[in-house]
Amino acid sequence: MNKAEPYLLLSPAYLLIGGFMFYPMATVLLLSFQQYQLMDPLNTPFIGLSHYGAMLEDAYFWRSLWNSIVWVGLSVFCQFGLGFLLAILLNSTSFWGKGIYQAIVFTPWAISGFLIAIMWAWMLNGEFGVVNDLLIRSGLIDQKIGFLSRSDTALLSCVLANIWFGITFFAIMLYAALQAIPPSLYEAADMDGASSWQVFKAVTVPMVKSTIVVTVLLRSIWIFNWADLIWVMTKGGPAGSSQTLALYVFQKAFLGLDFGYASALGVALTVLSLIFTAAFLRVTRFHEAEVV
Amino acid sequence: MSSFGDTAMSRRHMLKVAGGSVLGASLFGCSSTRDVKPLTIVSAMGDVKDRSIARLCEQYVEANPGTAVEFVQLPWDQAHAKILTMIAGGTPPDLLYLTGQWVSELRAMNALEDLTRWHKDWEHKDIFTPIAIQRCESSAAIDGESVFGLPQEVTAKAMFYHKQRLEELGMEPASTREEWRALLEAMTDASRDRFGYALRGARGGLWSWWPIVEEFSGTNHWFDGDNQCIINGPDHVAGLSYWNDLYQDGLSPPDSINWGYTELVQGFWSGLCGSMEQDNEVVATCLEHGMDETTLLTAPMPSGPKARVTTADIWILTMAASTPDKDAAWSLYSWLMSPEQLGTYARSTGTIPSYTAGLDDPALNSGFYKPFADMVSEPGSLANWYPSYLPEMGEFIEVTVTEEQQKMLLKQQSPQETLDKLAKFLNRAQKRYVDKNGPDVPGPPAPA
Amino acid sequence: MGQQNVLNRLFSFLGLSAFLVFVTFPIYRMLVTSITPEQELFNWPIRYIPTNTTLEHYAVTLLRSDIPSYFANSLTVASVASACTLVVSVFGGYALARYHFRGKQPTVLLFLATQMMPIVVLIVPLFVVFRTLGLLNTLYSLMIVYTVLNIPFCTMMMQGFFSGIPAELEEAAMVDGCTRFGAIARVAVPLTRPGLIATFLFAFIGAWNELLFAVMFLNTDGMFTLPVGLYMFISKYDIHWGRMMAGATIALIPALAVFGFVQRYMVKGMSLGAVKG
Repeated sequence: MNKAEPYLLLSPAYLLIGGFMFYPMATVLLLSFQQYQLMDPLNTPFIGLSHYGAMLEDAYFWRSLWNSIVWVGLSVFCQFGLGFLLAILLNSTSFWGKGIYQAIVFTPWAISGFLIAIMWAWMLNGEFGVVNDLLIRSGLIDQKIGFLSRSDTALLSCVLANIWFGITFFAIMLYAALQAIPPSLYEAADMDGASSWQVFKAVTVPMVKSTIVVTVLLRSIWIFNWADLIWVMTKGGPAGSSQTLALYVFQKAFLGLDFGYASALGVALTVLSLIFTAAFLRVTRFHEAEVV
Repeated sequence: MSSFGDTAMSRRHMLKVAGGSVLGASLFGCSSTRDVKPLTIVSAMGDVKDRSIARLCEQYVEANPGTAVEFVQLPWDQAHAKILTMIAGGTPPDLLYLTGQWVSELRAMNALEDLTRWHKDWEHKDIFTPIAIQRCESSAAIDGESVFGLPQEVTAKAMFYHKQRLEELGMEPASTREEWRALLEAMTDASRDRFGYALRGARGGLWSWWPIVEEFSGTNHWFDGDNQCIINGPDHVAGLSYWNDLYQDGLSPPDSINWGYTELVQGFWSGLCGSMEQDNEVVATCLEHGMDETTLLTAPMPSGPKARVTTADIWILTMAASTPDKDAAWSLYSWLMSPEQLGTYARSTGTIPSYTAGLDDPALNSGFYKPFADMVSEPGSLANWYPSYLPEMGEFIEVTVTEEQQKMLLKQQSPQETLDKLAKFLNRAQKRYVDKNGPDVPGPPAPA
Repeated sequence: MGQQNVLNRLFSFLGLSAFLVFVTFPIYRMLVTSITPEQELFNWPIRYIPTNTTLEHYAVTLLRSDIPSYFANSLTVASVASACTLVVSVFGGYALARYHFRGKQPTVLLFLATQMMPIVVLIVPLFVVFRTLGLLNTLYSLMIVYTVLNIPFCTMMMQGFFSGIPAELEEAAMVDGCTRFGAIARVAVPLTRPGLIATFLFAFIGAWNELLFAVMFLNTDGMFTLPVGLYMFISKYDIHWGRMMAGATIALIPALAVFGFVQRYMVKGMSLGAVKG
């Protein structure tokens, strides 16, 4: 094999990413070591690691980090679990109207994030929300709940909307991966008299492992960085109870006008994601799946 | 109110004409097809107002062949972030309509052009009302002899009521805070989804409770002579407690802790809440949602134990410092700011004119609008005031106050603790300002 | 065995029904809201079957805003961006799947790193890049951004799909005189069709729905994409629920059409899988 071939095949990706992402990412990194208040634009000295030091003492940083962990952890766990289940159900059953069923079940993914936020905020509305109506009708509660106005339910409400949106993504990706498994593998397992659980463990999971790892990893990173949904649903409130790191970065940059500190937060987010990635790849033994 | 009939004008139509040949031509808007580089103008004042500005720009282009104006449209929710991005990214629009607070932010960024060189010889320089000029001064749009922006309009707050609710109860609009509280209690019936007051528990809550704090403390000062913040004194705490109790006692919906502008106004016109305090521009929104003379009543704000407070704010037209062709930009600027155009604007939007002659216009001084006009010109009342010269006020209002007031509404802290924390933030900001600009800081205007 | 089968089918039926209800209920609310007169939205208790219906929201949405133009813009951006993404990631993914080379791990790390930095802090520098290129307020800026941002994920997805098919098939083709590119195009790509389609869908939908960059890079109504156009329905004092839900429903149509069209091929992929075994 030609040594240059893989680089040649990857060159369009290198060119596009290098050309358009290098400068912005380098700028952010540089800014994170600078004082850069938008309202004091001519005074931007390098201040070393001061922003990072400030971060360690910033109670809002730690609170939003914790909220981010809850937000990512719960969202990805449920999205993946339910999405995988849906993919398996779709893969193992055939029925009349399956095409239509798929098209319908996959719709949430086709809706813009802020519309999902608005829809769910409206459904979870404390006065006219349909969720309250359903819960009251079914006798589960007798008083309306302001899901988005209580500090113990606001973040969970956002997670719920996120789950609704994200199941589809996992379902589609895993469904596609499941279909690529050669049926001969299953036939062989059947002949060996394996139980369905054994087949699942020995055939299905290994065959879709790389898809699982890539989707869970990228989804986690992506949700970690996703602020739109929470911004529209609660603006991070009440009293910061649903403020995630990504949202905090937005507030520092565009409301606090402190681009220096916001950049440092952005870099910190990146570093945290890198640590998470390394740990995740180690735990899942990704190299055995021959991807890295 | 025939002036609102044209709200039905299609946005598409408006924009196509607004930019003349500039807009809507090719799918990719290639700049090579443009013969003139258009002036860009941004306005995020609200639907009705933006449309009015876009129409004025269209007239300007028609009257001045060879010119072109591009009207930049922003989603309201991201307007501030986008304007900042454009400035930080080096291409702000040439002309910008800004709130007082945004003017002081942008001035601190050196992003605004000093208009003095044209303004000093401008024929219309003396047309503006005292309150409009005073508001420009407190947001640093007019800074001593220098002019960085002129007032487009004054907005004022008054009380909005559901008229039938008052009639059902046989009650009149409240004239004191005590009466108002009794009114809210009478209006509230949570079992029927009826509440008294549309409270702003989230973004911009300060706009709603600060005037009450002034009514209870009798002062509109934020700092004493030594630049120490005084907003956590006992009278101030009493004012904030009054507001907090409205929520704690169930006179506002539980969800209102999350309400900003939009939800608040919706909470009112939808009938959930019987009253709210809001700007004159919201009259148009209420009418658009089917309210009329039989259902909507506007009245002056009730007064507090120590003062009667008038709340006025302002929209200011400014020019970006980076504008390439400044004379062309001034030409559009001065045209938009002449009495004729300001009049057209005020009539089509139902706003309080910023120029003296406009105050006599009967269309702007009657019906729903009368209480607003009355409040602005009422003698002897305390003018609501914010230290908008502090560049940190944007963060203060949007982030700090929101967080601390929500903690209070959730009973995680008392009104006293809330004001203590806010005072601490302001002391830091004031110190930074004093270190940079000297101890002579802008203060509220002396009572008229 | 037969009993086991019945149980399996029952379980599948219940599971699939539960998903259907969970997914469709909010969409059903969206549809209902889009045809309910505004004042009735604020009624309690809620009526699940609206007594009065109106098409006014659709009329207003279509007449007052330039939905057809937003539609065209979104379609242009999403198609171009997802097609570019797909081409780039097919080659890239193939390289990652089939070669062992020094730069492999750094490449994957680079890809991941671009996804890790919050978009909010990248906006201003990216804005500067596109200003310098003179591409602000054009659809090109969005095509480029969406392509660049989707490449990492799509490349890694394609890598996964390529790893799933045996390399021998391409080697056989190359023995028969195919070039490497020929083998990719004629053998590898058809075999990964379901994955290819899933990847395309991902890129297309991502570009179709993106809001933040579109808000920041586009200035004038004629350039707006659908999400930006719909976002304009939230004004300072007003959320036009009915109109926004009408707009959202309209925005769903093409995405649904793409799903409906594409999922047939995803199913067909199953029989292709049988061939290669």
